[in-house]
Amino acid sequence: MTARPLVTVYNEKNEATASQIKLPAVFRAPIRPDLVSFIHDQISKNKRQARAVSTEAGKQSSAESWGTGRAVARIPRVRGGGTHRSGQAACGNMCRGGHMFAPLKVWRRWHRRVNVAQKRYAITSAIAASGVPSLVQARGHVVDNVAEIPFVVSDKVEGFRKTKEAVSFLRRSHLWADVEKVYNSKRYRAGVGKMRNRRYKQKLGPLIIYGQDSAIARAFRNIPGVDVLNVERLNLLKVAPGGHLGRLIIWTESAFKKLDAIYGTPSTPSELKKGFVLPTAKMANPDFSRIIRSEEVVNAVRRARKVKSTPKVHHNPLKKFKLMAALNPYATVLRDAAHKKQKV
Amino acid sequence: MSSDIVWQTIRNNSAFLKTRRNVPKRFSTERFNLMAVNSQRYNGLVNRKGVHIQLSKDGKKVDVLTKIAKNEHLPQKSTRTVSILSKNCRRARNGVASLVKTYKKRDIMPAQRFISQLLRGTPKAKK
Repeated sequence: MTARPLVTVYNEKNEATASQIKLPAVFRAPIRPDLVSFIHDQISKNKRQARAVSTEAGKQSSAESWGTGRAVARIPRVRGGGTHRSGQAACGNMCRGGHMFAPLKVWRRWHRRVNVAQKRYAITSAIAASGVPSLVQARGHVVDNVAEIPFVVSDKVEGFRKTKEAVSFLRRSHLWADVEKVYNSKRYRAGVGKMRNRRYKQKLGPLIIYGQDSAIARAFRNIPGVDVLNVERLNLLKVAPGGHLGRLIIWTESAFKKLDAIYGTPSTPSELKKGFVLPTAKMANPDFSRIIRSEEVVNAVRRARKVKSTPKVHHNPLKKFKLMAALNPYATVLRDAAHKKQKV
Repeated sequence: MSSDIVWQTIRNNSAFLKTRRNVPKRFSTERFNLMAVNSQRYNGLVNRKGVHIQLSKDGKKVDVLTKIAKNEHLPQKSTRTVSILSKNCRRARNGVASLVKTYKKRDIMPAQRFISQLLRGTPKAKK
């Protein structure tokens, strides 16, 4: 479906303005959940910090093996005496107080390099998916009363300074239900993360993408679940959180207009991304039912042959005389004779 | 949006998908899914047309919602609601059948089954 309809811009009070923008070509990029999931996986590894076990851990003992001939295992044992510890095994991964098997090293490969073209493909796919209401709903956002998807809002929103304005805008635009979902989902994290400054978990709400740097982030940042991004620096980890497509995105008018310049269209190359061309899908028309109903297919295909198989009913000749007569012609004679006898 | 592509994205991974251990069938709780089964045929998000049945807010009528295919991208305007006033099961079934017959023939049977179950579950009005 490469048609690009006009998208209405709504003002901060959720009234449709006269302004309409042609849907940017990014929204017709192929939707590739497999690719987005993979790239998200790779990219999310890039913020990891190295962790390792101390290099001397479990080895800070002057233990030495007793050798053979003493009816004990040959593992190094703690020297000296006068304490429980003396003679105990040390230094092996199987020993109490010994080093671990394969001690963790700082030079583990923590980060992943991802091809630029693949990163761009993933982001365009994620943006395209955010324009499909079914995918946004399936991801779990509450969009039953949202005016339009993709949701584009006038640039007045970029001028918001106070969280109060931001909240009132979200309420008016029927997006507050999604934020309420976030409030209701706040819960303790399972596991030790609780004591590592990651006490709470909550769902994600809408993502706001703006076009011009302003203080919009400050107005929205205290609302739980809401993320704010500049359209020129989109983050796949926010546009497709968890590697799942369909985040609810609120575009400001200037951000929406910039999309064609940033990602290009099939006819004009991208202005900001060197050498980038919007990815094309493997199938131009993926709609199976349209294909089989299309003129070309219908004309080329013969009619379906419906083999009507009615079950053959076998009647009982003893109850149906006509059948009996067909099977045994003498039955007629017998019957007439019987009738005559009765009459007499 | 092609229902086939959206289905391939959603079929294994959706906020509405319900799977349980030892239950071989997967259920799906979105609106417009009358059989509540996770399949492309009955899915409420993926198909352009869909029927949903629910009790009205005041509990006195049964609302039949249908998707307006043209307004897929305008969620606020994408459903049409018709109320069935009778809570008598046979009348409600006939009402639903007549509404759905011209809209989506394939959904007549699921809609009738759904409304029967719905009315069975609602307490009978005191005479």
